[in-house]
Amino acid sequence: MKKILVADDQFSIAKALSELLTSAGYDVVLASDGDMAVEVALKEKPDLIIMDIMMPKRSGIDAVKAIRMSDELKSAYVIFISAKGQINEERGALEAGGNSLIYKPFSPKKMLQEVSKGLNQEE
Amino acid sequence: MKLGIGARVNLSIFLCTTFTTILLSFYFYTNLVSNDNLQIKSTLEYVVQLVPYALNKEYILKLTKDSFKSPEYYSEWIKISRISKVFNLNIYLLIRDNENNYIFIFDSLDSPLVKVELINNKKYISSENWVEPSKKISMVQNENEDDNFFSKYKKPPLELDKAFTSDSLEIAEVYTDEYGTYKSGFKSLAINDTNKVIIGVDYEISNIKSKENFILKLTFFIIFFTLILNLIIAKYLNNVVTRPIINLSNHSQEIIKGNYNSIYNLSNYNLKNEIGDLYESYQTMVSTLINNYQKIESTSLELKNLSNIKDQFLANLSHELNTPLTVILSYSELINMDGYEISKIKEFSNEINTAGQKLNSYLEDLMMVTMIESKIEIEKTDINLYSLINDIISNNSSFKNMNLNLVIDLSVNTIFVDRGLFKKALNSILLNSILYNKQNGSIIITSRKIDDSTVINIQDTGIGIPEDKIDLIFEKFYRVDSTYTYEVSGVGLGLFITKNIFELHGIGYSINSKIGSGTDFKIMI
Repeated sequence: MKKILVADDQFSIAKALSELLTSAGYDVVLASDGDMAVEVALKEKPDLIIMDIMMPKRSGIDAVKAIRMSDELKSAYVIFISAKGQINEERGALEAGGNSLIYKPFSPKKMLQEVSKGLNQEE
Repeated sequence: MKLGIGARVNLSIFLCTTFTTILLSFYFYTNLVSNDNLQIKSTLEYVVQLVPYALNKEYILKLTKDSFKSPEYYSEWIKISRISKVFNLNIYLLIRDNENNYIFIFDSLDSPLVKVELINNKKYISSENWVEPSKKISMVQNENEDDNFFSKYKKPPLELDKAFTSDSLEIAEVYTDEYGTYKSGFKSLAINDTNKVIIGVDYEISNIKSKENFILKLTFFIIFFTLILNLIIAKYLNNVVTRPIINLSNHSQEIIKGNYNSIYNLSNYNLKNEIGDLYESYQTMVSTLINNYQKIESTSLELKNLSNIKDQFLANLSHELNTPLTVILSYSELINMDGYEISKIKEFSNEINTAGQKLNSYLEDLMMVTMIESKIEIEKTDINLYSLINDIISNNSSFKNMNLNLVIDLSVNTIFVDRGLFKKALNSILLNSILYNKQNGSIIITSRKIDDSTVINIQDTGIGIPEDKIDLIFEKFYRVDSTYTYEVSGVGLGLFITKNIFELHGIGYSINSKIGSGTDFKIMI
């Protein structure tokens, strides 16, 4: 079973994603801030990471940069979530090695498509 | 070289005065000299024609160099001498001997009034105004030296020679000898066998010379005086006009460069004239300019800050609105998907409801701002502070989540305020105390009577507010530092609304905060 890390400080959103991905048959681990995201990622070695950019303690971009330092997670597929119009975030997301960027509010269906696309690519 | 005003004025004054002086001097000089020349000529002509009438023609014709020994000599001499005195001229008769020597026979200047007498058969010549008696004796004793009695021209003037060949009056050039400066006229009187007699008249012109000298001196004096006067005027103009204006010009150059705070000081000349007035208005102008500039600077800084705050607000608002919206859209789509149990669907609809309420509260805040800015009316009633606090706290989920400790110690419990508005204000303060507090932190609320007013303190053990940000937290849309912003949601309108509600009530408030140890919010009703 593919493991997915969902990092979002808004619990409701994290929970929605969790419900969506679990019912689609994925194993989901959650993180509520940047530091926790790095910690969980290093421990759980997820196949795919969904990362909110604007998060407390450490931004999603910095968290991904830290995660990418690990050899095992170097090639993990990363989907960033962001509000529209934050040009700096978009640029930072690309530099940090994000594979795709989805704007809030997003459609769960689209998210599922993106996830399966990401996992297929990895194989 | 560029000439300044002072230099131009001075130069013009100097040139005008000098020119006028020279013109006047020239006019006087030419008038005087030509007048004198005319006068000399007519006088000489007159005297030359007058003398022959007065003299004994017979005697004149017989004149020799020995004539002075004759008794007639005296009477003729008297006539000449008198005419000489009347006209203030030297008049003399000249003869030319065989050797072409000119001999003065009568000379009103240096000839004696001679009287020839026979005493003891010896010839004596005496004179009434003889100056030196010794000379008289020597003359008598040495008759052979009689020739010395007559002076001779060492170098006779050309006009004298001319006079011997013509009958007209010949006027010689000015000449100077030991007696003075003269202009002389010569005319032949009579011709005899051996001699030709010439009358000579000397017109003393040292007077004219002195007049000329006077005009020349006066001219130079006026020019010199003008020069001195000019220097004084120049100095005065320099002090009163040029230097202040140059100074003013330099100073305005500094202002043009934008050197408002330059240490370039405008010297104060304390002038009581138009330039002084100019200085005063200039100084007023500059200080007004600088004041306005500073006002504009501070206003633009303020606007910049406001603009920054607005930008932050918009970014923040879009983030804050985005979250509940994402929640609503996500869960509503999940509900539509197959395979969720009814209990899950209930959970999802609760999430949608919470998110909707959150959106509603933001909307309420925004509407409250609009209402406050259009000055709503307040309706005061007596309300119970304790129940108001409980009402707010019990509805707050964060308070429970953070496990905060609430201490309420009220010695005044009834306050006279607008319930709805005051609750809103107190809610914002308490919300900040809760949201920015630490896990297991505490909130202490006290009230007491000081003089006629009720003082309520709300102390928390939160992160505190930086000192320079305290005034800003009451600004619309302001949120302290983005580092903390992400941890606590909100659009940044709470304390702005609180401030306005307090101001509508006339309630005083102040904040005392220490970074890391907490904030004390004081309300004075």
